[in-house]
Amino acid sequence: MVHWKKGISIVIKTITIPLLIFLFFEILDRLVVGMGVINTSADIKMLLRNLVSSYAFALAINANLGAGRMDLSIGGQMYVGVIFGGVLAIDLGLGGVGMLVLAMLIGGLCGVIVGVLFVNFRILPMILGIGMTLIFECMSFSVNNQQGVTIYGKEGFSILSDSAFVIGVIIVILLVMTILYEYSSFGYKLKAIQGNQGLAHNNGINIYINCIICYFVAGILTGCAGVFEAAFKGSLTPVLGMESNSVVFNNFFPMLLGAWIGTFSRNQTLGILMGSLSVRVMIIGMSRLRLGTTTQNIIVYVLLLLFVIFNTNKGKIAYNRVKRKRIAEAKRMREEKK
Amino acid sequence: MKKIISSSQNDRKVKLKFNDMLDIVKNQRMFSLFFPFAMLLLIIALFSILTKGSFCTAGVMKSIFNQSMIIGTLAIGMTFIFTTGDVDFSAGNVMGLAAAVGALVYQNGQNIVTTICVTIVMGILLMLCNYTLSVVLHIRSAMVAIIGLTLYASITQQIVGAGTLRIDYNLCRNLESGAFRYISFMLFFGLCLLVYYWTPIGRQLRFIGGNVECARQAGINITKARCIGFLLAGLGIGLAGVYQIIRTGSVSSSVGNGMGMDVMLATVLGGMSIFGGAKSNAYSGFTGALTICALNQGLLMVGVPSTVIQGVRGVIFLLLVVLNSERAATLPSRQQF
Amino acid sequence: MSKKNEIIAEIKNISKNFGVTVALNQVNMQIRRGEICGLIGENGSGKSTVMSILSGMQNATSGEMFYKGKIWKPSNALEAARNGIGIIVQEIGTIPTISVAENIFLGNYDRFRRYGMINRRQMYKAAQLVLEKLNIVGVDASATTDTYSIEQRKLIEIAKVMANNPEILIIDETSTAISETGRQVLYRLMHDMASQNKAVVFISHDLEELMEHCDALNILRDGCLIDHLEKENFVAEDIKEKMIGRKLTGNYYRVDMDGYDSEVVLRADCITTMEDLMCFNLELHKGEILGIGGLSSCGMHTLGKAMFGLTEVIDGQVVLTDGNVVIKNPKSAFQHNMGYISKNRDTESLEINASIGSNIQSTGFEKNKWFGPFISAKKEKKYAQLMVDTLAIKCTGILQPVKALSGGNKQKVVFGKWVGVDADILILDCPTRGVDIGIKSAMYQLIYDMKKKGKSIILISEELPELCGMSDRLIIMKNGKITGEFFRKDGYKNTDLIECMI
Repeated sequence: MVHWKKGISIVIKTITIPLLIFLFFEILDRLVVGMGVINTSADIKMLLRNLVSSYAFALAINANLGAGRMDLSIGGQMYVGVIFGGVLAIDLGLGGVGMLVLAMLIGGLCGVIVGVLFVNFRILPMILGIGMTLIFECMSFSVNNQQGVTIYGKEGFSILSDSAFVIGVIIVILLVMTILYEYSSFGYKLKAIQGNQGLAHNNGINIYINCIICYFVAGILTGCAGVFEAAFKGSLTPVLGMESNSVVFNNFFPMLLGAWIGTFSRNQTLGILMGSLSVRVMIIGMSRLRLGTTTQNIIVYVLLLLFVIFNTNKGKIAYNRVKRKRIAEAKRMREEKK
Repeated sequence: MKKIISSSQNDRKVKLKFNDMLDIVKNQRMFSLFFPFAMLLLIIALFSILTKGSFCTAGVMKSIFNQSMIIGTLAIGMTFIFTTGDVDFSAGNVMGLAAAVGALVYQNGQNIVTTICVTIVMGILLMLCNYTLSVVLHIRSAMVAIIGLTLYASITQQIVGAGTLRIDYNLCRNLESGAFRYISFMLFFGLCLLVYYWTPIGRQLRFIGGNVECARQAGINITKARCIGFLLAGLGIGLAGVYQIIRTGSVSSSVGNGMGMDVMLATVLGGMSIFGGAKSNAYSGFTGALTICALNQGLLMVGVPSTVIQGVRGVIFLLLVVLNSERAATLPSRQQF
Repeated sequence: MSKKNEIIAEIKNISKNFGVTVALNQVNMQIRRGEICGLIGENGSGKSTVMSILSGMQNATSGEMFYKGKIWKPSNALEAARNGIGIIVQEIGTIPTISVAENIFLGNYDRFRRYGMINRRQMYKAAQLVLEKLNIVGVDASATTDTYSIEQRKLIEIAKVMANNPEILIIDETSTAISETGRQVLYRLMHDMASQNKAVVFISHDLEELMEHCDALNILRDGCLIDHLEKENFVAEDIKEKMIGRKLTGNYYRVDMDGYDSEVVLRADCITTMEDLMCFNLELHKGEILGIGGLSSCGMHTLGKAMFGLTEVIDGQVVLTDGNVVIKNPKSAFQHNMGYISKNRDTESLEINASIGSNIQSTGFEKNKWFGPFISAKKEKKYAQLMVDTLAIKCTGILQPVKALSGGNKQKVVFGKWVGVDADILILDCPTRGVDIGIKSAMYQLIYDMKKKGKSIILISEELPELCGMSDRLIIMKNGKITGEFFRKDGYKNTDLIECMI
C-alpha cells in the first residue's frame, strides 16, 4: 500500500514539469494566437525528431558530467561520427539505419580515444575537450571535399524521419541507458565513483576503465543525436573554430533540468527524457507565438540561468534551517547559564 | 623471484629520475618565464627557413601583430580571471555584445568617442555580471561561461539582426592606422603589468589561484581581489571590442564567436597553467596570441590548408598543456572542471 | 583446523620514516588467533601507522611481515581485505550518496550479477543480513547512506569490513566516534571474532575500555614498542606510566614559571558553531600561552578556526577587548593583528607551488608598500630574506618553491608569515605536527620568545607533553565542552589531564 502510494507520487513528480510547461504554453498559445501547441501530425513529427537528438545529446553530456568531467569535444565527436558514418553509409548503400549504426560506432570510437587520452594525460577534462574539438573539427573537414554529408532526398534515409522509428529509438535509448546506469555493474561502480572517487579506487573499483566506458557511451550517444540532427536539417556541414561547442551548450538546459527531475525517480535517464521534453515543448510553444529564434534563445537561457542559480544555492535552505535550530538551542542554553 | 623484484625496483628508480629531471627543468623559474618567448622565436625562425626568408619581413610581422591584437588584448585582461583558476571562456561573446551595443549607439547618431566609451563600459558591466554570478552566487565559473556565452551571443544576434551594423569606413580606417590603437593598447598593457606585478592585487590573485584556503587564512580579501580582476578583464574586453569595430568597420551577428576559446588557447600557449596560481604571468596571453598568429601565418605561407592548421593547433595545445601540468594521482574531477 | 593462540600474523623489525621523522622504529609484534590484542600509545606514537602498514594502506620503509606463515607484502588495502585483513579507520569510509547496501558491498558488486544485471533485491537482502548478524538495528540496507548520522555510518562501515569475512579485524580508534549503544555492537563483534578463533587488534585511547576487553596489550611510545602485557599483568598505573613516561631533557620546553598579565585580550563570548561548539566561553590574556588539549574530535580545532573567524560563529561573538572589535571573518582578524596556523600545513597554511618568498610576503603587503597602492620589490625581498635568516630556514633562496622543503622547514615558513607581520595574537593549531625534534625545540623557543614579547598565544595540540611543557594555562576539552582547567603554577599531572579527555 505504501509502496503503491510512493510509486504514484514519484510518477506525478516526474511528469509535473513537462506537463506544467505544456499546459502553460497550451493556454498561452490559445489565448494569443488561438492555436494549441500541437495541432497536426507534422507538429508531433517535428517534436519527436528534435526530442530524440536533444535527448541523446543531453545524455551524452550527462555521461561524463555526472562524474565531474565536462567534455566539450562531444560536439566534435558528433561531426566526425555523422560525417564519416554518413559518407560511408551512402557509399555502401546502407541507408538510414546503416548510417545510424555507423555514426554511433565511429562516435563511440572518438569517445574512446578521448577517454584513453584523459586517463593517461590526466589534464582537466574541459581543457582536453577543447584540444580534441580542434582536432575533431579538422578531421570532419577532411572527407567529402569539406562538404559534410547530405541525406536530403537520398534513398533509404527517410526512415530517420519516421515517427514510429524515432519513438522506437527513444524507447531503446531509455531502456538501454536505464539498464546500464541503474542495473549494470558499471552503473553501480559509476555511482560509487561519483560519490567519492578516492574511496571507490581504494575499494578496488577500476576508475580508469569506468571512465573510458563513460566516454565511449557519450560518443555513441552523440553519434546517434547527430544523425537525427542531420535528418532534420537534411544535411550536416562541418564547422571550424569551436563552433561545434554550441551544440553542447544548447543541450545543457535539458540535461541540467533532467538531472534534477531524475532525482525524484532516482533514474537520471528518465529524468533527462522529461527534461528534454520540457525544453522542446517550451520551444515549440514559443515558436507558436511567432517569436524569433534569438528571442526564444534569450528566454531559454535566462530560464537556464535562473534554474542554475536555484540549483546551486538550494543547499543553503537546508543549511539555514539547521542553523536556525542551533541558534535557538544556543539561545536557550545562554539563558540557562544566566 | 628476488631478481624480478630488484629489477622492477630499478625500473622505478630510472623512471623517477626521468620525472625528477623533467620536474627540475619545469620548476626552473626561468623556464616558465622564457619558454613562451623561446617558442615564439623558434616558430619565427622555423618558418623563416621554410619560406626562405619571406616570412621574416616587416610586413608579415606587422600583420601578425595586428592579427594578434584583439585576442591579445582579450587574453591580457582575462589573465586576471584565469590566474585565480577560474575557467571563463565567454570573453569572446562578451566582447561581441559590447561591440554590438557600441555600434548600435553609433547608428543612433552618436559620435565615435561615445561609441568607444559605451563599448568599454559595456565590457566592464558584463564582466561585473559574470562576477556576480560566479563569486556572489557561487555558480561554477565554467557554467557561468557556458550560459554567458550563449546568452550574450543570442542578445548580440537580437541587436544586430540579419545584416550588419556599419560604422563609417573612413573613420575606422583612420583610427586603425593611427596611433590610437597602439597608444591605448600600450596604456592598457602597462596598467595590467602594473597591477599584476607592483600591487598587492596581482600577488593576491596568484595566491588565490594556488590555494584559496591559504589565501583566506592569510587574511586576504578574496572577493575584493577577484572583483578588481573581473573589472580589469572587462576593461580589456571593452577595448578589444573597440579594436574589433574599427578593424572591420562593421559588427555582424556572429562577432566574437569562438574567440573565448581562442583566448584560452593563447593563454596556455603563452606558458601559463590554466589552473592559475604562482606560475601565472600577465603577458602570457599576449605572447600566446602572437604565437598562434605566427603559427597560422607561417603554416598558411608554407601552403598548409586552413582547415588542417586548426588540427595542428589542437595537437600543439594539448602537448603544451600536458607538459605544463602535474599528473594527478587519480583522475581530476568535480570541483575543478 | 586453526588452533587458539596460533600466530596468524607477525610483524618483524618494521620501521617507517616520513622524510626525516621516524614514525616507527624496529617494531615487533605478534597477532594471535582467538585473542583481542590492544594497542595503546599517545598521539604520534605510531599505533595507527603500524596497523595501516599491516593492512596495506602504507608501505614500510624496512622490515618484513608474515601472514598465515607466508611473507606478507600487500600492495593496497583491497589486497589485504580480500586476503582477510579488514581495518576500520578513524576517517569516514562510506560514500554518502549511494545506498547502505552498495556501501557494504563496495567494489564487490559482481557477486550479485545475474544475466549481466545486478540483482538489487538480493544485494539489499544480503546487506540486511550482514547488519542483522552484527545486531545493528535501525539501519535499512536500501536507504541512502546520507540519511544516517555519522555514528550510524560508522556502524555501516563496520558491516562493510565484516562482509569480507576478515580473519584479522583492526579497529582504529573507532569507539571514540560512537556512542554507548554503538560501542556495545563493536564489543560484541570483537568477542565473537575472538571466540571464532579469529584475531582482533583494537587501537584506542581509552585505557579502561582496553583493559576490559583485551587479552593482551602492546604499548607504543615514539614509534617504539615499549612493552607487551598479558591480561593478568594489566595494572592501570603501570600502563599509563609506560605510555607517557617520556623524560624531558634539558630545556626542550620552557622551564620558567613566569605568569601573564591579567588583562584579557581576546574573548569568546558564548560562541556557537554549526558543529562541535555550543555556547562556548574562553578568555585569552596578554602574554599568555593558553594550551588547549583533548582528543582530535573534541572540537578544539573548530574552536581555533572560530576564534580566527574561519568558521562561522552563528551565535555569540569573538571579541578583541582592545576597541571592542568583533571578529567576523579572517579578514578582520588579520587586520587586527591576529595570526592563525592551521593543522593542515600543506593544504591550508601554504601555497606549496609558490616560492618561500611569496608565501612569507603574503601577509606583509601593507608593510612592504612603496607609495600609494604600489609594492616595493626591494623591501619585499629584504622582508622575506630577514625571515629566512632569523628562522634559519634551510633553502637555496627565497625563490625556491615551498614544496621542495622538508616538513620542519615548511612549518618555519608558515611561522615566518606571522613573525614577519608581528602578530599580537597567534592561534597555533598543532604547530609541531610532523616536525622533527631539532626544529620542534626551535619552535618552542620561538613561541616562548613571542610570549616574552607580550604576545598572546593559543596553542592547540594533540600532544600532552607539549601542552604541559609550554602552557601557562591548560584547558582540556571533550565533546565541544571544557572538562578541565589547569594552571602551570599548580603543575600538571598527566593522569588528571587524561581523565578529563576521555
